[in-house]
Amino acid sequence: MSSRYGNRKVAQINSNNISVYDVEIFRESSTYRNFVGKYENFIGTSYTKLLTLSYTNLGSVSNNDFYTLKNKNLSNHAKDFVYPMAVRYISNKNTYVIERPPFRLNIDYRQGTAYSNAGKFPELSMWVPWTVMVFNGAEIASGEFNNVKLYFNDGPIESLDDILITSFYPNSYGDARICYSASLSDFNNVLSLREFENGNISYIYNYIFNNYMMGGWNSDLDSYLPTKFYRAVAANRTSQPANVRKSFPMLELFVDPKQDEDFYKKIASSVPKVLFNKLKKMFSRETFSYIHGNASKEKIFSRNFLIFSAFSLEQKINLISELKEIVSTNYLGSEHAANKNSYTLRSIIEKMDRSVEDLSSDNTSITSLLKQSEGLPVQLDYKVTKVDFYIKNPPMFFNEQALEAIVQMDKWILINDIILDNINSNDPPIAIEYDYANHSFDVIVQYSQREYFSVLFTEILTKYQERINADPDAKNLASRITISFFEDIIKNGLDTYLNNLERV
Amino acid sequence: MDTDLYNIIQSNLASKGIESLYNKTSSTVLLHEHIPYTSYYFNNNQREESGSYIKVIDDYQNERIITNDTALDLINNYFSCLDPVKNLNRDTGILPPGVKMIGDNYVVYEKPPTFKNVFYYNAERDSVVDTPESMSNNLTIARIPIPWQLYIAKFNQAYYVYEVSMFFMNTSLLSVDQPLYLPPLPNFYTNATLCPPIMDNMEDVDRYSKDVSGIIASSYDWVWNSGSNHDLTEACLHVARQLKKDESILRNMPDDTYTKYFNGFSVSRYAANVSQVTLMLKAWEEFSLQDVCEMKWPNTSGEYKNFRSDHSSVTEHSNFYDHLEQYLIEHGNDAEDIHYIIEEGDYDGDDYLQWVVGNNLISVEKPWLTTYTYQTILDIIIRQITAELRINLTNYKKDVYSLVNFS
Repeated sequence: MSSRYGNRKVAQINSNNISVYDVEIFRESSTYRNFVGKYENFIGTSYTKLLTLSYTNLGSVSNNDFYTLKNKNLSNHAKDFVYPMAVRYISNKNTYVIERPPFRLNIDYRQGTAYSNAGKFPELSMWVPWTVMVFNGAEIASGEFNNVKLYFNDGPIESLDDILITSFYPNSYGDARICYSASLSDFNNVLSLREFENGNISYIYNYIFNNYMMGGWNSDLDSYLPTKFYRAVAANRTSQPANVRKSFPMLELFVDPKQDEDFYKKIASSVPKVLFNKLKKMFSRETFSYIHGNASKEKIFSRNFLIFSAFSLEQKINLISELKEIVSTNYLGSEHAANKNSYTLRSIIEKMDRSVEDLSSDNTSITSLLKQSEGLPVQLDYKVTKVDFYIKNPPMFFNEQALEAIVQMDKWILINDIILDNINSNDPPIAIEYDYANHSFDVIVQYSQREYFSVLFTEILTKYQERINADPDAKNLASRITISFFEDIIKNGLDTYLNNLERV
Repeated sequence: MDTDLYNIIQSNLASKGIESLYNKTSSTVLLHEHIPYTSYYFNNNQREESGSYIKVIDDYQNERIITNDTALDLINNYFSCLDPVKNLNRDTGILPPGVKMIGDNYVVYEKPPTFKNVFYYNAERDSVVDTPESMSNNLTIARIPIPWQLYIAKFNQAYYVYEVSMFFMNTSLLSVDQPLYLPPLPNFYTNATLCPPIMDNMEDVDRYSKDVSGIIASSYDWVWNSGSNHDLTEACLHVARQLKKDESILRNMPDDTYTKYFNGFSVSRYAANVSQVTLMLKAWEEFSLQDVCEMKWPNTSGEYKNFRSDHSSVTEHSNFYDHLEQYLIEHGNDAEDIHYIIEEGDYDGDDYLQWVVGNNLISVEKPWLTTYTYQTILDIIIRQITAELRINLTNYKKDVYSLVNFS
């Protein structure tokens, strides 16, 4: 059993070429842990930890080619395209915030899941309020669309402290991420890869925005808002519906459209009677509880669309304003009051920046060296080399993920050099033995794990013997441990025991 | 029993000769087979103790090691030119709508049609007398409608604006092939670059945030809130020089005024006079926003701050010297001396050239026939910035030495 940690790369550059290695760190095997771990308590010292460093040679590029491309890209592709309408913020981690003013949209909604045979919603349009799309430029340029977020606003962004409302249209998650599902499955056929490689943000934004708004919605995902908000408001003011009406008239109209006769008539006249009659009960608080109702999400989306289409632009914007008001006050309760800052644009950007930092190395600059599709002949020398890395006298709270924090930097640099040198030679395998107690290390040449285990085992036995000799009272305990732990060796001999270990 | 067991195992190991196979080398081993040599270790998971480092050894065996966050940033920077979407080195701040591109040390943004006040002080900067009488006597304020504008602001590494260009457009910038035009305003070079204003104090320079949003605010103020004077007026001439009267902002001007002030001036003139600028601004005020969006505007001079006539077509013209006698007579030489002067070449050749061109004796190819597009102009701007900020083309040795010398 091994576990992978980290996101590590080594680039080795000389005047001829650049080689890039992916470095993974695997935790010691359970076999090894069983072998040495049993003695830890009895001997009184921490056992030697074993990690395996895996160096994967991803490929190499000639230095000439690299610098030719680098210089060519100095002027980059900026002159080949312009940004979309309103790029309102770009972070130094490439998080883009793109705003769009309200527009009228023809609703394309299947009243069921993506692969159902459910019918389409009748032809109807609605106002989409101010939208704010947040995504990472580098991420989507590499074809990763799962982290694109969509928010609503009641006007143009004015500051980083502006509160944004998570999209409550279908196919969006509660954290504002857009679910594209099958609609982007034709990515390679439909999109120009060249525009992505050139980082044409305008092209990419237009594609993903239009794809979401007009690519066809369904009821695969739940509707998160404004149910959640209404529930929060109602919970605070259950006994005072009049207050709710007064403070949040659009939200109230959304929950109970029948209270406004003209508005209700507008809804009724907008769709065929058959459909309206199916949903009729859901337009009155007396016959449908938005909070406790058990209607299907398909029906809830249909109901919401009818209301949204009846809203004027001003009403739709006011609804967003009310939702923002709820977030900025304490209507959502103490739990949300503590988190209300998480709805700010600042927090949304920071979160996106962090999520990208934590993502896999596939989005890092170094890897992009090997992703260039034009003008860069990459020599792909895919080869994996594993190097065992022993840590003697490890720290008490040993954490495999923080190997670089355990090994001193100057030693770490030497070790990497030595390992790379070994990888690029025909020499027999090596292993590294690092002593955390004094931060020295040894390189084991002609390394054989089996032989190392043997020596380690001998050392353990020596310490074991010393302990018994020094403390006669421990003898009885030692006898029991000996019988228990060395049973296999006594029975089959050390050689067989080690062979068995190797096979595992 | 315990001792017996130990002996059994020891002898078992010895019989395998295990100890002899177990060799160790010294921890002082250092392997440098490639010199100069750079090694990057990159781990972007835990920045504080990421173990990221850069080790550089140059031709002279100078070794430099850079670690952790600094190394991580440098490594990213080293390879960042390969990323489809380039990282900015700092957050932009909240941007106004209309930002079209942010690149290395430049930002491109547009503004919609609007009315702007132009404060034209009809004296050169050095002769400005800052008294109320002088100001009111020499100041023309015009409220003019302007079409879509595209601004390109260059800034240095410390995020200070050092050059601003403003172009006119008939629509919002929708395509990189869209033409950009010259704003015929005082203090603009004919490539649409603004003559940099002189700030009264450091507060005016420093009050902007040191990010792209601050660059935008600052560059916009450069253009519209720093006044203009009579230092540089060639751009104003090009309304009449490049465009017909009925297609420009001069179309409603009485013919006799137009003929007197805007017709038939020499291509070699590089400045408008005060009357020309004032009349043009007054004529401009009469139009609507829609008018100016549909109107023609002059071409820019592209790469150069002024239009450059290719005079070789004149000097190499077969009739170039046919007018020399007339020139010398007009310049007060005696008729009997003329042949001698010509033989000896005892005259001002440049002045003769200007005289020939100025009097339209030989036609000169008009240098403003090229219409520059956004793409062409941005390409020029990027090349200029590369030269101005000494962003050198890079190679392996330069990179190694810059890393070795990094501090």
